[in-house]
Amino acid sequence: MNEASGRAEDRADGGRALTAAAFIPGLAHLLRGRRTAGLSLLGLALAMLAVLAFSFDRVASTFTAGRVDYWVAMLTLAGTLAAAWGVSLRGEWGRPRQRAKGTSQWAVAWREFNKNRVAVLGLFLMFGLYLATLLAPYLTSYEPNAIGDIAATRHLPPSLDHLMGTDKFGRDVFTRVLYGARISLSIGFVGVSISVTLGTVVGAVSGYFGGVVDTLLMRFVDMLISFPRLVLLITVIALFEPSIFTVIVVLGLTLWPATARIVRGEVLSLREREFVEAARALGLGSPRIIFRHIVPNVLGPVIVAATLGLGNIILIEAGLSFLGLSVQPPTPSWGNIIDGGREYLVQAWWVSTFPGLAIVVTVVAFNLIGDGLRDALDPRLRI
Amino acid sequence: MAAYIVRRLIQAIPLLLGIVTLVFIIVHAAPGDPTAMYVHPSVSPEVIEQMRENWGLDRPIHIQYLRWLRSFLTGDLGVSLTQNRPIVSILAERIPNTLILSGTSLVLIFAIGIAIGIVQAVRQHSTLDHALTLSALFIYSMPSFWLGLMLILVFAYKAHLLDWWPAALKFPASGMTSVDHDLMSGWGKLGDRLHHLVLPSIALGVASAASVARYMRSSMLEVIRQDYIRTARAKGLPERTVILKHALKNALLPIITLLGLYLPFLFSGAVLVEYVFAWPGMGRTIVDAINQRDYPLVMATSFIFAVMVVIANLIADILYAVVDPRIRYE
Amino acid sequence: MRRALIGSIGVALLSAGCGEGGERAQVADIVPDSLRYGGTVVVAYMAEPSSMNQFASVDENARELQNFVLFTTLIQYDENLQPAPYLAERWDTAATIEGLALTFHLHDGVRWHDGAPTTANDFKFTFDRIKDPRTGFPSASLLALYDSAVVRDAFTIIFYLKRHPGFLDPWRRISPMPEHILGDVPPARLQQHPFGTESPVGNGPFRFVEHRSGDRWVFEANPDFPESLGGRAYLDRLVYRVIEEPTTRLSELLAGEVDVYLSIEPPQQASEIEANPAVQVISLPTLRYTFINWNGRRPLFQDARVRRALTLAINREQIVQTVRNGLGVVAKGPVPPFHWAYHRELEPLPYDPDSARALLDAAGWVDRDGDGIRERDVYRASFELRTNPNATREDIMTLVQADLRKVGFEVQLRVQEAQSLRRDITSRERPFDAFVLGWGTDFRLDDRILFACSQFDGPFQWASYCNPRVDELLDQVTRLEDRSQALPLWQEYQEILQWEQPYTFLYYDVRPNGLRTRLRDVQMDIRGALQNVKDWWVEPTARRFTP
Repeated sequence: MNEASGRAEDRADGGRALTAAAFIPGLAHLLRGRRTAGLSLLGLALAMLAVLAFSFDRVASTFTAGRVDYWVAMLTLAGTLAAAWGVSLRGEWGRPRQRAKGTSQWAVAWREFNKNRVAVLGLFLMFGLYLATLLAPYLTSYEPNAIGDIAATRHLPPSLDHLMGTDKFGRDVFTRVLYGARISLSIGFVGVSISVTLGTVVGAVSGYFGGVVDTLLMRFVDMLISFPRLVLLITVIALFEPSIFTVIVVLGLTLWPATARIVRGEVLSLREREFVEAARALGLGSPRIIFRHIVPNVLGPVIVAATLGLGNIILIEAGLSFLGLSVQPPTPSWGNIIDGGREYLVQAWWVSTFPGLAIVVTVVAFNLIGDGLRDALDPRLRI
Repeated sequence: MAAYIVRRLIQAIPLLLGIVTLVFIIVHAAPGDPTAMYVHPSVSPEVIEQMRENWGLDRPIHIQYLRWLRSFLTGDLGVSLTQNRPIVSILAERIPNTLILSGTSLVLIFAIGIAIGIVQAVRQHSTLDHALTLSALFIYSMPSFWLGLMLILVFAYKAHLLDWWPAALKFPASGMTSVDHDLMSGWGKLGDRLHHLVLPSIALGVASAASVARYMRSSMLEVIRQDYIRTARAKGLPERTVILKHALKNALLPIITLLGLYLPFLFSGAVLVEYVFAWPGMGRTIVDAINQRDYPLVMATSFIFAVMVVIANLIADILYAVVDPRIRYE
Repeated sequence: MRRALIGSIGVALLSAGCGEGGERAQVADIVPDSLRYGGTVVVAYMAEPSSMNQFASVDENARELQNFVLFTTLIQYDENLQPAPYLAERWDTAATIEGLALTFHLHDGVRWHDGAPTTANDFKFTFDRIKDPRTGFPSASLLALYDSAVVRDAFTIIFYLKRHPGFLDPWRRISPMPEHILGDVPPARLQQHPFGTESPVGNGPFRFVEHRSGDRWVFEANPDFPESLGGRAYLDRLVYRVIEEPTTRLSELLAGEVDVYLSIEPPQQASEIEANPAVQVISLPTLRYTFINWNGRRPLFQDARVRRALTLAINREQIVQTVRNGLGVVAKGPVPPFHWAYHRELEPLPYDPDSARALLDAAGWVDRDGDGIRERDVYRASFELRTNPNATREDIMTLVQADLRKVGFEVQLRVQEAQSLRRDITSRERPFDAFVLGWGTDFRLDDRILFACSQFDGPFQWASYCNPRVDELLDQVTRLEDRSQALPLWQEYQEILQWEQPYTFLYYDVRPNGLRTRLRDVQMDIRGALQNVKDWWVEPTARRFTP
């Protein structure tokens, strides 16, 4: 959209848009020609209202159920609606505030990212996924672990009642996939946080100090990398007890070497730059230089690695579940739903197939975002 | 060149020692020991003690480590505690199997990946390009074991129930050879082996093929923009010659380095794929050994895995130098 | 030869094509004996038989191969589980001061596969090694009441033992080991000798051809197997394959790549197999039962009324139906139905959650704070139920958790890695609440390690159960040789356990096996799936390959 003409239109339609926008989120953006933003705000608000309308009973039961996840869902619902409205209104009443044309690295990157349509699609996918996870109790009328009359409900094929069919205990697969997303996404998120933090610290320390520290740390990194990752994970998890905690910790503690290598490479080149020299000349301590001056400058590649790592970690978790080495039943994770269904693959294909597809879609989303971020943050790496 | 290889190999020694030591610590720190599988009502505690003694598990841990290290350095990998046979002979059976599977996948990955990458680069921004990019993305995001299960469901299970399904597309779901393999003619044997390799190597390799295609596409695009390609085109050479003769060689350069990257990845993936397809390889050996606390076998298998990765990395570096004369070994 | 010429597409479609045709054309059941010889049979199982060396193996599948395929045992059980001559042509007993002298007269025509004759010295050697603690023979307790062995001549051996019921039983499962090959091996090195996995030499109806670890064991018919023991087996080759993935096993059976699928797992696959005319299911009773152990040292499980309530509240029929697809029999105690001591008149406890609630109320477990979970004094009716990684048992736990929730128990589930679970449950401290496991009984039953007071701190007294009357009964039944005298005592024992429920006995396992219908005369029963493997034959027109 051409910025100048857009603004001219704004002024002309200002009054009308203002009134409309006060009632319908996203309409103002639409009128101003910002299609993507407008449609997504509108879609978001409509989706939330639809949830409210179709499962009003369940929303209402929040006050009596006394369960935390209902309240979380309630907050999510209200928060999302409010946010959609807020963005819409702020965009309007904030006028004629200029859209900030920042020149910082982040602002530039954000504009770059926004140009990449598939990456934005990935972002939407991810956003929708997290939203669905948080809203899970409102989106389904079944409980993930509740077992009813097994004989009547087991292995029902997909239908309108059971979008993804039912499993061997007659539990609704759609519900379990929805709740399983919480586990899988949390494992991904926490695992990546641990590994990225660790990797950044090790990489930065190694790169900054060099010498013996560097040699030792990097030999250790080589060692971990020279070992097929899954084999290492299996060794550690199988020997101790598999649980969500073990899996997160072990994933976090074994996946950091890749990040460490990237960060070290970046730090090696940064360390000789003027601003670091200057900081050193000012007599700043090493920790301060590393964390205040160097780390912020390597965050770009780290964020890219983290996003791509998220997809990866979800795949790994699924593999571990397949060997029975991850979250234990009845708690659902995508991996163990597949695992639970694989013995019945022939009799009930849907149990293993749908969570598999959920994994594929999620990983695709993270990879799209990761690629987009890479293009935006680090033009050198573009492929 | 030879000196370089030797130096790299010498450098790898402390690395490998570190790995086995790390594994030794992890394995021995975990609860349970190999006698646990003999905990059985008819097995008296005295028998268990006797086994621990026979296996040397009654010694202090540092003595066990030193003893193990000594025999390891003299080339004796010991005897598997659960399979009761020399580990060397177990590995001699299993290593080739894993190499066959990973090797086939590797060929598949690069053949398919490079071909698709070229097509995409040549037809950049066409519908075909977008469709291929999108499907590559999806394939790249699939868990290999899940893909394996789906392949079995369709090509091994459903296919056998359908009369109209072409016989050539019915694949065996497990194992490396048919039971009558030994009785077949030479070509029959080869065909039988390939037939058994189809599903597992696809399940193992197709994700990486998608990623090779991505790299190949961008590498090719970069090369095509270069001046000498323009010159070649300007000379009136047919497009086919330009692409396959002039551009391909240079576009392949960065792809070759990927070889070293994919091997460890393949070995990892092999663990799951070997399970699904009952492939008697290293991956299953190590998982079984871990579950049964077969200490010597776990150690030996991890060592071999590490060696294979080190060699893979070395090969990648050498290949890189071979294709790019700018790199010199010093 | 015709098939070899067709080329490289492989055997899958060839055997499928020809095989299915042969199976559909109803072959007359009377095929002359001479035409029954030939063909390869592929047996698939989920785990690898560990070793052909009985000094080293503890797994049942290895034992079946040893007893029925590679070796011959002194005696066999007939259909009524009565001892029958096999390698021993006959035996006689004589009373001694210590107890009994048992003399076996061996068949003189049985040769090891390398040509040497099997003699009494091989049995003496085997016996001595079993009794030698340095060997570490896992099942040494089989011969605990045997004292010594004396070779009278090349084909006569005498064992001296203390009197006990079922004293012949060990000889149905102890195969002789060849002294001329293993005689010089130090006992402590026997388990790791390559004999077990690389070069086993047996004396049975099949001989060893090849072992590829993680993949297959291959055997071929032993042409010299004596006529009087049944003669040469009909099959040319027997291939025992290892396939871990259940869907893969099923696919291979349906595709005809596998002829016998041992232990269909999950049992739901059985319906899939029954629906296909080229394959059938044979279900056999087993020596196993599946149970939940309640740790009697925990306040929650000390009261027998609570344990009874737990059993009443668990819908065991539903567990059998959903988890085992109906393949299982709701259990009433520790004696499986095939056994002569099984109490036929006893009724298993019903599924009756209301009575369960009443019992719990009576025992003082009441929900006072209205959270749906019962309490008594300072204790909450909340416990952790564990099992090892095993799909069936995990499913059972999931159902039990749901059932017990309905009567006011809170159950946390924990799937614990097998080795560390074993360590926990066998440790003296009993650091667990309850667990689901399977127990393998034997033809010669002895439950003292499970329920006797003297075993209170022993590795298998998981229930920490102690009842002096049960002790008396268990001691007497292991001494009484007359079954009619022992039966009432066995029945009383089962009645007491029924009332006190140290375990909740869930079900007696039934083992479904799938096989191609082209395979004939397969008789699988409680003695084992391979027990008559030497009589199996394949319809001549449906064989996979004839070179």
